[in-house]
Amino acid sequence: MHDLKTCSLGLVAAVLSGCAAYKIDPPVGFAVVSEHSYETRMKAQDNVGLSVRRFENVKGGTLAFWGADLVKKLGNRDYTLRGQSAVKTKNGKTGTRFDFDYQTFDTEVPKFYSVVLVVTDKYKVVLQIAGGKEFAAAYESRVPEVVGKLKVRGCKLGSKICGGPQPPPLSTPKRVPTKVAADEPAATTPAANPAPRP
Amino acid sequence: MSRLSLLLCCALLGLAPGCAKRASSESSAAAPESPGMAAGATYDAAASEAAPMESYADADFAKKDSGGDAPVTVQAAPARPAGTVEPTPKPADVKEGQGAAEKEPDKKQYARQIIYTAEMQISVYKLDDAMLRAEELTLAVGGYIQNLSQGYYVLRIPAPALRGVMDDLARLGVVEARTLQASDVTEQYVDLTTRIKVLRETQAQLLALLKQARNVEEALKVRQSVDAVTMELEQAMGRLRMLESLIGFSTLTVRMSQRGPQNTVPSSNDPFPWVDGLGVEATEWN
Repeated sequence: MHDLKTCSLGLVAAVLSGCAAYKIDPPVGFAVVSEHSYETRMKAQDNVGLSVRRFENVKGGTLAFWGADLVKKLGNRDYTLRGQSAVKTKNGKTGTRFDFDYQTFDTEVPKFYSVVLVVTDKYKVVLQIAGGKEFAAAYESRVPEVVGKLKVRGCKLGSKICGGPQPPPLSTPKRVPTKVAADEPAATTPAANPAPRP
Repeated sequence: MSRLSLLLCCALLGLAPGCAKRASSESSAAAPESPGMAAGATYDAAASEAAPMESYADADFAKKDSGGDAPVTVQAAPARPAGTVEPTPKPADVKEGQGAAEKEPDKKQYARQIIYTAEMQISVYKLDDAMLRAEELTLAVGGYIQNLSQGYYVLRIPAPALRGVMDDLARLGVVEARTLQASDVTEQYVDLTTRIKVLRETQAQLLALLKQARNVEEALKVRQSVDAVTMELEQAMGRLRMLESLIGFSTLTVRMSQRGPQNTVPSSNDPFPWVDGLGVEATEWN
């Protein structure tokens, strides 16, 4: 009877854990700040943050598609892509790692930002590590170790998404600055004689 | 003495129908000041009223010149930044009335007068850059900044350029709210210009009477009337200046907020706004 109970509980636990999109054990030096089914946040002593988020995937959403989407949209927010490489999770799912440089727009403090994107049939899972630029070397070298603590689920049998190819080498798109319409007649007059700023 | 009183009465009676007509058409106009309140006004001030009026180029009442050479004591119109456009640019809708104005030159100033007031709420990624850009856009079209605080602008934009500036500002980020109101003030404008015209005529006639005064008592009586008319004229001109400023320069209130991962509004018509929730701030938070 006791064995049956243990077996049942084990089965339930296995089923429940199977439903989660991801699972991550805190890497050395990180402690969990908050944990939900859709997001896990951790912090290191030096204020470097680690978070994992899951998003629903849609039909046709491949690693290449979402990788390009990520780089483009972060580029629009002035994130500069520095590097891109393939990574492998604890349970053998392949993803892509993107390393960015960034400056916060309020204080202009330089930051490092590494993202690992893993795409399955059901989910896209994003692991992010960010902090002050001075910690970049210490933590970027630990990204493979951190990804090694991550399990990602959501692959169907014979899935083309999970075993899909890596994105081609991507780069941050150049931003086009907004311009004043050239046909504005008064465009040059105030520039030559600008009004005092209040 | 009696002759002067008779002339004064005739002058005032002769102008009364004009004032009555004006009063009937101007429901919102303030009541004329009582003569007793005009004690501080001077003859020189009254005589030199023509100087500021010359700036209203398209108003027919500007042709008056009472010939005073003394310093102007009336308050000048608010100064505008260098490099701005004409003092009284008309809204785009004025064009509609210009065809009629050519046929009837006397009624040129009766084209539609509209005050535009707009508000925009924009969510931007770089607040400081966006604010700087908003300033540049404003100055580039000849506008000026009326009020400024962090993320909050009250801009005065030449009315014809308002839509263009709003479109340019919209490109700085995500427009979360945008309103544009038009208020037709043609009636107020016409009433004021008519009232000023009548007051100037009254003032000119009273000044003529003042010159004919034979003694101090006569002069003082006429002066009281001159002062009252001058006071009312100055008030009307002040209101007209304010009205023309509001017509010529639309008021655009811009509120900017800095975008971050907390913003739920997508950065565009993006069907996949998932990246909005990612980034350094989202990772470092907590």
